[in-house]
Amino acid sequence: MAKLKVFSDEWCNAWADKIRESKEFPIHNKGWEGDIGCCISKDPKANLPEDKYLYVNFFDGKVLDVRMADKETAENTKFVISGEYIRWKQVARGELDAVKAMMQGKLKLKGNLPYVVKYVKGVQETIKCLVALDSEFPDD
Amino acid sequence: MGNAVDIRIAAGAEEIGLAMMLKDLLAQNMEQRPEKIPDFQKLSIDVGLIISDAEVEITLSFSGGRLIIYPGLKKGAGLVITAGSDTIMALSNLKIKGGMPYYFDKTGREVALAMVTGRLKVKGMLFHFPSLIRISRVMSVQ
Repeated sequence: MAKLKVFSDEWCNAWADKIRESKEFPIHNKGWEGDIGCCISKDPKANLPEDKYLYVNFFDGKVLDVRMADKETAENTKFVISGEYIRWKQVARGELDAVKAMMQGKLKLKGNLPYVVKYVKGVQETIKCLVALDSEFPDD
Repeated sequence: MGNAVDIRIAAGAEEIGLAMMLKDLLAQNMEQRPEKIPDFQKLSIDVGLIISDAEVEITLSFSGGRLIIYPGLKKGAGLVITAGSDTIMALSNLKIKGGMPYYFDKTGREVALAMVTGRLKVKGMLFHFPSLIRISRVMSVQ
């Protein structure tokens, strides 16, 4: 099966499907309300000439939306996670734990932190689903 | 209650993600759960925090309703907590029952197991037990 080009519609849909297939996600995301904007800084050296924005929306253990978005949409979500492309790639490859990356300042989170901490296992499960995708990155 | 606690980041700690996270976490926790403020105000201790799997060290310096977060470990910290990033998250998710951390649900057992297996170390626990309990209450988002 062909690899999924990251930031493509197919890749977003495949990630959403993986989360929907997860048995753990509905358990750890139960009660969650809120959308998440992921801001990925451009890295021309890695064939990423412009910033990318991802919009993710969950509600009470259900996936409502996973899609690429514009800057305004991503930055006006309840939670915004931002970081350099290389950090996101490491997270998506399972080489960098997202929580550890935040503690090290490699990814930055804006929003209600006590709320996110309560749902940290749900966040980790969504990342696990992302890592499970056979993704092709711009600099592969 | 807005000025009941004062949380600051010392020079050099601004680039440490954990320092910024704890600043936000504690400020928002006090705002959303004002019943925790008296515990915060009673804390008067330096608490070292070592995240063993992220190579991050900070010191939380509590005094009279003020917290300053410093980079690195300050000498003479009353408590020094060493744990992995997952265990630190679990500590923040500990339920509090009857004013004490609750170790009999999944998260509680996770923390207790981390302590027994040495993945969570708390230096100074015997001498500063009341402060440790207060910190648990202040940090808990549950």
